[in-house]
Amino acid sequence: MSAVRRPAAPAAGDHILDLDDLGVVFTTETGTVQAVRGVSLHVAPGETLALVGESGSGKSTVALAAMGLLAGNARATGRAVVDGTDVVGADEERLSRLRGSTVSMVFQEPATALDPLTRVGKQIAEVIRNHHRDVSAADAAARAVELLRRVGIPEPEQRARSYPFQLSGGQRQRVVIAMAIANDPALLIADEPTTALDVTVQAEILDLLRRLAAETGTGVLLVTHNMGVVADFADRVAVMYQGAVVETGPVEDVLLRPSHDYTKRLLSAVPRLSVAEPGEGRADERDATPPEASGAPAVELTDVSVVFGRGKHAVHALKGVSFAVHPAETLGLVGESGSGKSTASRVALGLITPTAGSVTLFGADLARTRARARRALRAGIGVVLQDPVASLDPRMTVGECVAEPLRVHRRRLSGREREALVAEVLDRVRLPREVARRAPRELSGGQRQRVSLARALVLEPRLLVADEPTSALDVSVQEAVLEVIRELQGELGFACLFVSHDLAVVQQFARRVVVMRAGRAEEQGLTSATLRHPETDYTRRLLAAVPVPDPVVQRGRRAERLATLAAGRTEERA
Amino acid sequence: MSTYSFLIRRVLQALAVVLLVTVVVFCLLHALPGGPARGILGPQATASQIAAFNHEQGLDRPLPVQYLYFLNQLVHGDLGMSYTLNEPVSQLITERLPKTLLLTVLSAVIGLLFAVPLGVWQAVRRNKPVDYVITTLSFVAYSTPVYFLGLILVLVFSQVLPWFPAQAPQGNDVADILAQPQGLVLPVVAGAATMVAVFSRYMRSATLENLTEDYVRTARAGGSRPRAILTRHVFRNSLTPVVAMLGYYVPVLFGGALVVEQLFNYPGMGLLFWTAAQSSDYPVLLGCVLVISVATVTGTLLADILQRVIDPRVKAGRS
Amino acid sequence: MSSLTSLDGLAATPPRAASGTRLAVRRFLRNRLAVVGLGVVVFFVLFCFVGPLVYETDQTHTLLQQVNQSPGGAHWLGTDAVGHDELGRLMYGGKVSLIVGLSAGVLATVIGTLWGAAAGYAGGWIDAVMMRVVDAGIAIPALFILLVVSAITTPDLTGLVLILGLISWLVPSRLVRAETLTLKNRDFVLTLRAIGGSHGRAIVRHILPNSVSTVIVAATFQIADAILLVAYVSYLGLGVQPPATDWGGMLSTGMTAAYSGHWWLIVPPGLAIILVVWAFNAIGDGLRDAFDVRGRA
Repeated sequence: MSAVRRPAAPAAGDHILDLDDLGVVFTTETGTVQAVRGVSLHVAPGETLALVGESGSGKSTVALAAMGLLAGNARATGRAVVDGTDVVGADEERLSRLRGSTVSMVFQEPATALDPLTRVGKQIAEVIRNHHRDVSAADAAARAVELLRRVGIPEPEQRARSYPFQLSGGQRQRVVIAMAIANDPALLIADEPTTALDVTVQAEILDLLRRLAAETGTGVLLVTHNMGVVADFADRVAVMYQGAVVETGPVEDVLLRPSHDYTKRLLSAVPRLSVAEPGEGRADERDATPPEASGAPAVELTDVSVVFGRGKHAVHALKGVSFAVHPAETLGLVGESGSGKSTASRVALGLITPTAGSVTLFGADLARTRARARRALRAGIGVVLQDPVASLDPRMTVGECVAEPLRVHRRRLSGREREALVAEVLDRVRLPREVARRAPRELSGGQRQRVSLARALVLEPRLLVADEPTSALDVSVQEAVLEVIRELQGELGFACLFVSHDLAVVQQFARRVVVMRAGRAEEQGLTSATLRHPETDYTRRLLAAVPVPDPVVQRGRRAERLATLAAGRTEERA
Repeated sequence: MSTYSFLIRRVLQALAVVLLVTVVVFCLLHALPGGPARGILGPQATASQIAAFNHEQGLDRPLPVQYLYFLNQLVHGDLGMSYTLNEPVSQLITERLPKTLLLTVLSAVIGLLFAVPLGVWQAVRRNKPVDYVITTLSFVAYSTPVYFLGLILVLVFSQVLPWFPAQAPQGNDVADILAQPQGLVLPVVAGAATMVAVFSRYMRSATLENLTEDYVRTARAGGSRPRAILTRHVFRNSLTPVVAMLGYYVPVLFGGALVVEQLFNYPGMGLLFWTAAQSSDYPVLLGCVLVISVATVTGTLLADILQRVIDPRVKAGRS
Repeated sequence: MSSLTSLDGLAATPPRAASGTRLAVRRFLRNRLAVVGLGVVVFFVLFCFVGPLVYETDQTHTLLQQVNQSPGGAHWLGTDAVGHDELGRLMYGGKVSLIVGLSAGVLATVIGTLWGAAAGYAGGWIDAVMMRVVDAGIAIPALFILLVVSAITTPDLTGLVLILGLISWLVPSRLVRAETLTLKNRDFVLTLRAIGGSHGRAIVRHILPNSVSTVIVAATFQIADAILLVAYVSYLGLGVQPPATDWGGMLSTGMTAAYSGHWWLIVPPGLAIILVVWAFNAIGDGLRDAFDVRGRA
């Protein structure tokens, strides 16, 4: 069924990484925090161990501890043995000799992982020369170019002379990988290596890592929160929860037959992309248009273009985009970064005035409405934005945040009436009423997003615009927040414009979908049809790149995707 | 943005600023009690003398016309005649400006030579005794009025310990001054002290900030030694914002030169300005303010260009 | 409630964390230099405002029988050329220095905050013009302006505060503008604008309250700079008229005497200036770290 090489479990004792009762304690301003406790794991040469968990589970701390890269306020206990050397308690000189040669690391954020003022070739050469003093600068530079070629960077001779800011996010991550493999390490630690990347780039980077690891028999410790990535890449999985490992096992066992309660809950919360079975026909398109009874769309963009700047440096953020959101329905707006989906949502909100085209809000053309009338129209909008930290004013209490729309649009209300409405809407988003007196800072990310939702709903709007409302949240929290939105939509009947980069979430959540690409609406239609049987190549590629959290299915999808890619390449050459 | 269009934009901005300065100077000139006439003819002048003077100088015409006339003179390098020294202001300034530039540039360079290593040292030894001591001392240096510092320097290093002369070297040009380097020591030290204080603080915080950057972790993960990371990566990245601050610091340098020149009797623009203030020599005062402002704006411009040279991102228009 | 909500931490809301202000206070108190600075400021305020009640001296009449006495005996810090007790004079002059410095520093911060917030929030060409005005102001070194003003007029105390305030608001205006620029694009302000909230509400309810820490830090440094500038004022010939005085005035009149060995006429006022300016800088530094705001280094 699969052509992928599956190394046999090696005999104990020749592990490249051995963690034994590893613990990490952080000393912070507000006391000490036990981030990791009693973690015992191993990685054999040639195998990939995925360390999964939600934020705060301690997975990244384990990775950093294995590199000896913990922050100054952290103290590690136990043992972390890399190729015979215990990293815990090793001095900096010893660690320097180990890092970059025996063990190396790929980080999450390619935007900041490289020195902005040093050419990338030089940064790779530095890693080579750290461990091979006898290599001349010229030889190291030549090897850096070779490494760039190996990680799939086109025109490596020229790119070696680039500064990091001149490369795309995916290319930067390839440079970081080139640095990591420069001295053929026995162990590669990858900490969320694809989290900051678009899904198509993620697939390429995972392919690259898999190929490199297979070529050299490198053991990989992959830290991730993404179950799809785990299914795509890992041989074995360790699940972490609150600093401890709760379950370990082969990837099929853990993802398909989890034994621990936490793993079960986690997996059930992961939104799954439902894919068409081979031979399944495209669903009936007849109900693609909404029920006419619901009347005019809540918001409608007609042929909207947005240009930022002018002249040579003008950026065409939107090019002739049209879509409408109807009452009581959810329209999903999906696309990769730079596709214009956020700009489109901001146009719908009236925060960006379109360069061309028109925006109609509740049947009124925004460009032709007077300021006062426009203000009244806006009382019908609720907004939830991505960042749970930046969305709420840190100087206000939760109650004041939620009450703000009332103060803007219903100024006659008495203080008591306002409090009553706030309490009511907090009930609706299932937050205890007491949080009204709290500061936003005291709440968790998921709670804060619910406060944002409460603020958005306090005026009982006719349109809710949600721009990546759950992408900063863990999957379990995401599920709870989406659940609340769905229920309230059923109760209150608002239209919802839902912007997301996550196809699986949109598939579950939106009735219709618009796929955006480079400022254009590439494809739109019923979610059940468009995301199962896409009409454009782009959407097909996008869907194929999404890893699903089932190792067996994912193996098949990967093989299919790579075959399509190879076929495409042959076609190009022909 | 290309270098070319950047330069044009930046120079136009600088010109706008200089134009605004001329407006300020022009307003100052007309804010004199009784206008420039009273200032030049002295408090004993009668009303008719003032009227005659005003007519003669075109001062009875509408203010905008006068301003344009004033601008026209400026463009032709005519800053008027000194009231007390009986020489064209432009000539007085041309003689002294190079000497002031010598003093300020020397103070700045020597100040930076001390400030940058001190700041890095503090950052590396953060919250250790060395850090506290240098921080305390740089706050002291920053808090000391330059004239008080100069006085102490003279008392200690010229009177008590006869190491350096209390008076700056005299002479008509830069070469004369440079021929007597011992005389420059105390003025330059007085001028550089605040510079060391301010820039060691900047360098400290820039280095601290960079030490927490992700790229440091990447370099460590690649096996680079802490010292190599500091010299190869952190140092350069920390220096860029400090160079940008240099531009903002130019006016403070000139302000310091004003005091230092007076204190050590150094024959530069500061001293010229000072004596002009004592004798109410308005054309000289305003001419000096204009030239110093242009020098400041130019200094800021140079710092901007320097930043573009050392930071490729700024060149690409994203800082 | 589904079982998942417990993962969200909903069942058990986190224990009430230390409030932002309390955390800032704790951080400030941990900064030893800042605490020493605070002590120095408190000491000098007591010294200048309560001191004269305890240690009474004649600072108005010329007392020829006791001129130029060195420290010791009845006059701990000696007397000056007209027979004024130096310790008493230090209290008397410090009052002027502190009042003028504090008022000018606060005035400069207020002007700078309003200007910077207006420019940053308005954006576009209004911002560009307003910032060019600031550039022009910064291009003329403050000491040069003060010297020109001294050639024109001799102001009274209020005039002095106004002049100092008007020439030193430029730096805080830049800081506040930068802060406003980031705040106006924060999600909570965007959300307010999207639902139809007014500019006024955005400024008054969100931007100003969130700039408070930046402004406080700027004000502290501004006060330090203003006290230092006051020390230059007499030296430049703009100072208060005798028999009134301030530390800068004592220092510049004492300068000639210093060459003849009367060190007690310059060392005390010089040290007083250095200590107070040092203290405000240390406090500003501590506040900046405590509030975690960007500002001058």
